[in-house]
Amino acid sequence: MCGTYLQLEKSGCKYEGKDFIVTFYKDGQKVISGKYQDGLYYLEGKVVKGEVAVARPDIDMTSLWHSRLGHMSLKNMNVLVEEGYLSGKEVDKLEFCESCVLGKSHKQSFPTAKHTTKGILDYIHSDLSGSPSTPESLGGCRYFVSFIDDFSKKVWVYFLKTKDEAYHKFREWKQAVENQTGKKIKYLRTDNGLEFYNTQFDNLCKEDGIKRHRTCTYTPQQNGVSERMNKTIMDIVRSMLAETGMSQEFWAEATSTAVYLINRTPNSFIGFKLPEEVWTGTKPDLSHLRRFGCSAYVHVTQDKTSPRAVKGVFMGYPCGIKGYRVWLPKEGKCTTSRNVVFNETELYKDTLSSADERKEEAEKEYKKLKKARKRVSFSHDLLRGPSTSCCDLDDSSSQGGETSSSSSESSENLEESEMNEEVVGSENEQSLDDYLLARDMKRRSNIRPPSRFEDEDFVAYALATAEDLEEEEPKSYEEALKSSKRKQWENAMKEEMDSHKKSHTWDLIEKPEKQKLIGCKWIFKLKPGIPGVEKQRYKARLVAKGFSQQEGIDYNEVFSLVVKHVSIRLMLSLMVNMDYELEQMDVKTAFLHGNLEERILMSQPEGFIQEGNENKVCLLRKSLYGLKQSPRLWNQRFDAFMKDQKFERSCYDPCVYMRDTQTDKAIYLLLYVDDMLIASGNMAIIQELKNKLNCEFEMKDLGRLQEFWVWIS
Amino acid sequence: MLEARPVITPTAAHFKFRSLSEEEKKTEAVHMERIPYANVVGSLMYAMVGSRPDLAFVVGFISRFMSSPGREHWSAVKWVLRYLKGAYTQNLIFKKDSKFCIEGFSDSDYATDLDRRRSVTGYVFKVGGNTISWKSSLQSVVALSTTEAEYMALTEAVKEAIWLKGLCSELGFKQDNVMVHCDSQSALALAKNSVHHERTEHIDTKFTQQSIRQIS
Repeated sequence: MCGTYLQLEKSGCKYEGKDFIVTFYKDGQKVISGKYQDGLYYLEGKVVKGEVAVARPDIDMTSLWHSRLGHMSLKNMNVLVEEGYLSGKEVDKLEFCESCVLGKSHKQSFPTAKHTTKGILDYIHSDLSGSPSTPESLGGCRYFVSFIDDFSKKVWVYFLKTKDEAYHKFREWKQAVENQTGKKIKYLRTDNGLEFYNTQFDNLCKEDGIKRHRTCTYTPQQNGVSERMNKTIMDIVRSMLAETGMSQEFWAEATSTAVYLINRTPNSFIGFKLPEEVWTGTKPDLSHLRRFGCSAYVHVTQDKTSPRAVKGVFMGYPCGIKGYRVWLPKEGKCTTSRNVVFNETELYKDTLSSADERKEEAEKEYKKLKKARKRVSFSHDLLRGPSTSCCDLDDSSSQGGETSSSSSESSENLEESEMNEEVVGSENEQSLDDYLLARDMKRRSNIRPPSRFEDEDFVAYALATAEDLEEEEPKSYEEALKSSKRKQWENAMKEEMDSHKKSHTWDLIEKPEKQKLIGCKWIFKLKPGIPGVEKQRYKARLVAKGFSQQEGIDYNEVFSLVVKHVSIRLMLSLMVNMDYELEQMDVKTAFLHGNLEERILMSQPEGFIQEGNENKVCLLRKSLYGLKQSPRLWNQRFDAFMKDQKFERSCYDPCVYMRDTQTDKAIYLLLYVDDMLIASGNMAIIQELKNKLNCEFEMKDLGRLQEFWVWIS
Repeated sequence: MLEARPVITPTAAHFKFRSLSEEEKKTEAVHMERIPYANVVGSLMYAMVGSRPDLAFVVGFISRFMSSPGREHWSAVKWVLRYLKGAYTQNLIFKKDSKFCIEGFSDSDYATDLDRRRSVTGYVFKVGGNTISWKSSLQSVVALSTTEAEYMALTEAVKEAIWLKGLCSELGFKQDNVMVHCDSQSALALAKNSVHHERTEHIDTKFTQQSIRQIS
């Protein structure tokens, strides 16, 4: 009881004793009471055991702590537990936390791609690097496109002025490597850049069966090999430029050198072999490598008293030539030489600091040259070459025949030859504007046949033109007589004269005084035949020199009518609606049919002047080609003929003739100078008209209307 | 242009051009030096005259700037080429119709010429269900309201209708009346009843009225 009492009192109960009963109150309420028995108060009360369901928020301590700790990962929380900052009981298993997902979502990391390429050129990675804001290189390039062979990891780089050149470079490179290796490119991995995804590029790949792998949009990671290579290249370029203190315009130079070096750097992908080694199968030699941007002294053969060498900056390894490329700042030129002495302890920036004036001078020079180059490069926009990286593949003829041959003859192996030795060797200078552009590629504009061919060229030209002349039509009567085909032309002229005689085109009369004569001229035409079927035809035509005719005297009306387009289409509509037949014809030598009204005198045709009648002239009775009124006369003649045939001329379109309208025998004719369309529901009537036309004029039946617009144009 | 993306309209609403000012002419001439503007427009015109009524309006539009085109005008020309790229397979189809009759549709574009505020007349005629005649040309008179512009277009269409009707009847297909559609109620009202109105007094409405009576 004592203990109980104490406990109760502690919990804030008061008690009262009365009639042997003790009662405990808490806040005025009875809590418990006890009866006195045997000297003790026995509390009356029972402990009732029961279960109570409590509804309180059940906070998972793990997620609470996770939240408290700013969404700390379970791994880190476990560390805290291990270190004793948190109790192990509170950290258990982390439930799914949506906020974590929403807040910490990130792109999936990419597994290292595995290409199981078995040989070179099986799989090519390609990418284009650079931007319009990249400083222009010496050659005016702002971009470069790289090709990486997956098997050997060898890199090729081509410099571009604009992105669209990528296609040409790819083609060029493809042809080069495929030719060199005898293998074919099988897969090409690129990003979705438009330079790789245009019809031209697609067609090339389709034709050659190259399978394309592209990336998802905005996931350059899928083109990882290329992208990583770009970084590697640019890292080296930046380092080299920083080390040498050269300006950014040299980035292309540095890049090609970097690529040259990367191809000679062990690569972990291929078991730390050198890409060049895997590619070619032979171990490359590294002994000729020199420090980029160091001072280089190029041997020159000037006059006897001046220095025998020029100081320059080492720029890299030209492609296909065993030599070094050296930039001569003083001259603003680049030169390729194998007679170079290097001072690898002195870099470009050292020479600058030692002579600031010289630098300014060089810069001035450079700017001047750049201007000049811009002018030049404008005209040779498409003649850019690839850069040096494709060393062993591109043959180099840009340097001119003499140089490359002498360099290869005189030194088969550059590495063996002593550098300091001054041998009369290859010395090749290019102006800056050609530089980089022309180093490896043929500059088409510069290709000249070797001098021994120059004479032959003239001969060839002469022969070719002579051959052309043979084929050409003579321009005049004299030429026809001189031509090797004289006989044929004479026959043709005779034919023409015969037909004029037959149709009684003119009468020979004495030349009246005071009347002007019109000249005439022979026109010769070679009509190509169909090989094996029809021979070539030699045609001669006599034309009048109508330009000497005077309006009002020699002619009045000249215009020949043509049918309105609307009428033609109306006829077509009629044709389909009424199920008409539509036939097409044209008149041969239409203009010769016209009867001349004006009195026109023409001189006798060349070569056919009648003997004894030399003074006589031709009084034209019919129209000739070349006379101004010929078209008009033809139209009149045709109109008269149609009226004879009881055809009616439409007053809405004077080129529309019709007969027997509103009957079954209705027939229509549309005229377009000497071409005509005949429409009717009755084929027999068409045939009848055709026959009549054929009797009157010489006609060519073209059958059913086919090529309509050819007809009127 | 071979790889151009096709468009579905021969021209677009944003092509609203004026002729170049004297100053612009100088600057634009440099850019347009090598652009075969006239050649392209000429070729389009040939297609339009022969078989492409859909080009009629736009050819009229781009040929307004033929004398001194600028780059913006050239962009409109290229738009037409892009349209043609998508539409070159479409052509005039001649097919049999249930009835051989003449039907015309006239419309106008009010003050579309920004330089001189002239409107464009346009019409298309179908005979026997086949499109055979079309025209789109600048009106020679400045219309002061859409009613006037529509009325003038209607007049042009009626002229063509009379010609077609005559030719057809001559060919033996006499037409009792010709239907010419016009989408302007006010122009139609003007054509039917010549209320001498202050606003239309400068247009002689007699011709159309008479001819409407004549052809219908």
